Amino acid sequence: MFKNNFAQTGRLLQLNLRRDWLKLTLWLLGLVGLMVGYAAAIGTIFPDEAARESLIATLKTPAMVAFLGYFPEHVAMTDAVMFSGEMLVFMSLMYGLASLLIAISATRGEEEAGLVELLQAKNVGRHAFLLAGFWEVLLFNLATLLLVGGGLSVIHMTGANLSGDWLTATLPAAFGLLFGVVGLLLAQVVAETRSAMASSLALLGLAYLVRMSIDVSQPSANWWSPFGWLERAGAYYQNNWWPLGLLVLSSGVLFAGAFWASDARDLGAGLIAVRNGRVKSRLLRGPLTALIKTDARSFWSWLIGALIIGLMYGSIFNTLADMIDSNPMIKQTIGNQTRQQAGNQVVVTFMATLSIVLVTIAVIRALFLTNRLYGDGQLGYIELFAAKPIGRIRLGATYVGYALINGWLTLGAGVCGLYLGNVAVLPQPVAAKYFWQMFGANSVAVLVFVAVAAVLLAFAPKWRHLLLAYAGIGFVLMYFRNIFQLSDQVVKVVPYGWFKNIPQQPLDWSVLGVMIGLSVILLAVAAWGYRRRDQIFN
Amino acid sequence: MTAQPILQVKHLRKNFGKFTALSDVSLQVNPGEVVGFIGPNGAGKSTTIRTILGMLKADGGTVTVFGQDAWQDAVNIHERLAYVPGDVYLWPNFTGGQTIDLLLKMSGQQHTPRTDALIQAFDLDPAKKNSTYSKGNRQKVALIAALSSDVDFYIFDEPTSGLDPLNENIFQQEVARLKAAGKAILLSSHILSEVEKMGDTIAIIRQGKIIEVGSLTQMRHLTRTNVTVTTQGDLASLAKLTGVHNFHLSAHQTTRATFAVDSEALSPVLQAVAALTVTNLQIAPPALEDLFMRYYDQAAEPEVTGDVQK
Repeated sequence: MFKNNFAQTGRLLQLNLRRDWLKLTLWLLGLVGLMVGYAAAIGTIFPDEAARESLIATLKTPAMVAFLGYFPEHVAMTDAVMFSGEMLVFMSLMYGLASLLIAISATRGEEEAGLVELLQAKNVGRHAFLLAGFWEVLLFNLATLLLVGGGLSVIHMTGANLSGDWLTATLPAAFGLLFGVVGLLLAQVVAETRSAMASSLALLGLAYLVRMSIDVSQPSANWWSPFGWLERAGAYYQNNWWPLGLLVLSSGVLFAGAFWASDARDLGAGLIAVRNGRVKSRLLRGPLTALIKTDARSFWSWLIGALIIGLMYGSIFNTLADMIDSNPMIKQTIGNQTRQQAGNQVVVTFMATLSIVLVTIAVIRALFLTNRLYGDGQLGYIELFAAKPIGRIRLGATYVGYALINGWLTLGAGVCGLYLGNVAVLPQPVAAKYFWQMFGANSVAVLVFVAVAAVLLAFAPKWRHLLLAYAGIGFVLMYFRNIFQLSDQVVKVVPYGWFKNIPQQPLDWSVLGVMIGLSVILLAVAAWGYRRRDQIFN
Repeated sequence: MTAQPILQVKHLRKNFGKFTALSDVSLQVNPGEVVGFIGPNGAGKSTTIRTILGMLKADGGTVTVFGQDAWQDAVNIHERLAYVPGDVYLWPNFTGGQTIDLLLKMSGQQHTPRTDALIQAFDLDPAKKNSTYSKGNRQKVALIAALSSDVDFYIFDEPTSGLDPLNENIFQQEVARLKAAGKAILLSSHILSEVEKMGDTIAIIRQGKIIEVGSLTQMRHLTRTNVTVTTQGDLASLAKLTGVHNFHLSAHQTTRATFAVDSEALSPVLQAVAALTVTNLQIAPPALEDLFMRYYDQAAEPEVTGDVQK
């Protein structure tokens, strides 16, 4: 029975590691580098008391709490406590992302590629792939644990203790394991790699969002999300180890579930079967409608996701306004009317920081869709279009146009959510015109990204993923520019750096005009290039 | 009918970076003609077809379809053409029926009773999602859409590689119907027998070069007929006759032998056999496999080269 289920797991693991070594190494370098690198630098980045005070004040603002996690009150602020407060939640998100991607490609990905069928015909156990995937995720997270733990204990930040160092190293690794197992489970439940990725990413996102909304309103209830468990550990100041037990226990339960699901299903199928559909479709008539139909599920997920994130941020507007109210000095010196205005002013300033979150989501959505022009070629769909009386310009414009409109829709959903949250919680809501400005300026940024992506696709499709990295770097620059104390010139390397103070300040039409003009030129260049190059297939 | 060829490829060249995919491809398809385009894997069949379809840009030579340039006028050309790719990949969440209709609509074609007849003939369940289809069923979806289109030129890239013999037969009947209706058909394959059954003209491609074009009968004279014979007399002397190859005498009896005869030497050899009083004779018709093998063997068997010249 044991042999039947697990034979050759070790060899499979070896194969996986050999195939994935580059991916694993890059993730490992990235994660360990960020953790250990920041720990080593934290003492020198904020040497004097003033810089630390301003950092701590920034970290306690709702924008930062929403993004990085709850920041402990009434605790002596040493470098070590600051480090864990800033890094644990966000880095665990990254650990979780890495682990679930690794887990799914090692199990459902292999199955879809036909590798499982090939190998299961040999004396490889029925659940060997599942177990090998688990080992891969476990080894990956153990490696980060050892490297980060070792690094932190060597660096020994001010205020650090050995227990805290290892807790800080272990928590994200256990969190990674948990979401790796979530990936393994969903890879057994649904029948397609894409669905498995989408559903486990949605769960990770949900856990993050739940924590976000709890942290800004009522941090004591944050055990509702696994992210909250990390905060509950109080690394360096309380050093609770029980959240670790909780993470490991839930990983174990979910892994047992994955085994059950794997046992109950057939090869190539999921627990949830693919149902038959209608023979006719009134919608389908060309590349655009085909794209809309294949994209339908993502379309709604992104739109609703962006709306929810907007709502979450919008619903903390009152907390911001309260900061004005709770200050007795301000309360005394300014009247009721002005006080509300001042509160709203704080909210508007906060919106400038927030817009970077919403626009980054929109940009990622748009870039994914633009890149489908290449991806669908690899999948063989473009070949079917290209053999029809459909011009290249129409084909390219369909994908790029759909990407652009979706980028704008996603941005719109986020801004809309923000506005609704604002209306719901503030007695005197921030005026709609600020939201329009926010949308207007940032939609130009989406346009710029899509135009550059189109040029890359036309001339150097191999480098198409670079833009995603650029968008990510842009996000970090913009969101944390106050923490890193970046100059105005530095943030201008990304499109949204040019209007970082919108909606606080009115739109600068000359800047926007130049960006729009530039995008139109880039799109024309892309069209010219796409028309004259070979179509790229598998 | 011969006024203008449907497809005219002249000295086509195509490079991918440093790799030369096609070095010299010339090809012609006329109305009412089925051209079999054969060659081993990686010879450049799909590259040629994708250049004809304007998906790849030629580095040299000309490709015209309906007298128009394949790259410049791709959209106009594609209105009058149907194509089935070699590897059919379909949108996973559409059903087969939806996919057929989509492919038809994009060509400006209608879903006709013919379409339904074809769905039935090929025994396809159109309510199933593409992601649940096997390779053969995905191929059927693309074939049904192409075969029920009313166009002038049909291109099939290895159309029957996933079909069972029953469906392969239906496909062959359909091609015969199209040919009778005066349509032009280009059919690529590495399965020689299927081209042999349908093709009027055969073009053989190898390493990016067309090495032979001609009708099946024109090529037959280059092939060898396989003979198995049992006689009352001793067959050993046959081995010395010109045009006899691969002569194998049975181990137990000298009155039984198998050998291959060059088509042009068939008559004298059979006369020699007849003189020995035949008790059993089997003659296998020349298959394109034999012809193909002769090209394969070129490097190994230099003496064959002389025979190949027309």
